[in-house]
Amino acid sequence: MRVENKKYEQILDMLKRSKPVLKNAGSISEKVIRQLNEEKSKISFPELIIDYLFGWTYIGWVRRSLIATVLVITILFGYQQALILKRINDLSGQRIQNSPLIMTNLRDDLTNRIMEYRIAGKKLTNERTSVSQKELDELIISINKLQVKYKDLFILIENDPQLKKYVNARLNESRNN
Amino acid sequence: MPQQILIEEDIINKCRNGSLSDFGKLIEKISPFAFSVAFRILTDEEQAKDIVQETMITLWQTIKKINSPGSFTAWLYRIVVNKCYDQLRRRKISPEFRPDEKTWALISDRISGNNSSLVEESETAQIINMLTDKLSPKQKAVFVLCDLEEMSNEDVSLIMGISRTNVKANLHYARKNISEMIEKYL
Repeated sequence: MRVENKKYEQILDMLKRSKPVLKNAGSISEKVIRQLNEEKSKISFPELIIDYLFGWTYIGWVRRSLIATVLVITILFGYQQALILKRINDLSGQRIQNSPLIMTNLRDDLTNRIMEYRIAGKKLTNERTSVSQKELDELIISINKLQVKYKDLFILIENDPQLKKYVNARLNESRNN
Repeated sequence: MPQQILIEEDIINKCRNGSLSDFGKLIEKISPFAFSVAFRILTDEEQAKDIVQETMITLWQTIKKINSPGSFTAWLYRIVVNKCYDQLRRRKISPEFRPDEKTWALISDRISGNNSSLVEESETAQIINMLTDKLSPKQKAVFVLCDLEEMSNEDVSLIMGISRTNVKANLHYARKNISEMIEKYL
């Protein structure tokens, strides 16, 4: 096998040293340039414009940057779409309150609570409520009248020092008891 | 990188910008290297010249895609080898090997008397053709690039677009086959 290896090496060495030589590189160059010139003259005007406008996309780093930008924009778009969908789902899950009652001028906390009870009462079953709609309306009206009267009473007390003193003394007594 | 061809970066950049006159100069510089590979793979001078010509046209069409002038040599060889490879595949495979006694006598004569003189191109073609007759186009290309053009396995892998293991396997088979022929006929 060694003899064959030696022969193999000799043949290989002979072939390596006998490098093929291209005798007329100039003529090949001329032929290629001529062919390219012919092809160039055949190129239509729109192709030239496209090449002029978008030829820069052949630059390696520009191409890579464009690919990276497209990927980033696509990811952002997907993320934004997912976010919008989530928000829409959240919104559709929320209760819409469009009652004109809510928009009325509610005077104080007690009135608010009564109003809430009234709104909720609409949804309650007959088994769970014993107050009728009419009764509730009457109750609200009477509370409103009462509040007006109370306000008048407070003003009266504030304006009369003796009466105020008397009321305070009575209030203290009732607190002590 | 495969056997580096000394080309100024400037000339490649000018070609990339569309200068045909500079491309003409580039062709004169690189075509001998392309011809050497093409001739050794195809063992036919006219076909090798045609391949060089086609390679140069392809190179002009794709020169803008070359990322860095450093990868230019690998790019050039890749085009040449792919074109040779296609040409080899188009050729009809001879049904059986017919040993050419004259060529074997020529080889014997060259190596027996330590005759170190260079062989002529036609003889080189005959010898390579005979030694690689049984090889597949891929094995032949790997043998020419690794053993005759003295490129590393890594470079050949880069040029041919196959793995290094694949290069090694093809080279091993090619060497084994050629050694067997030498053993049998010489």
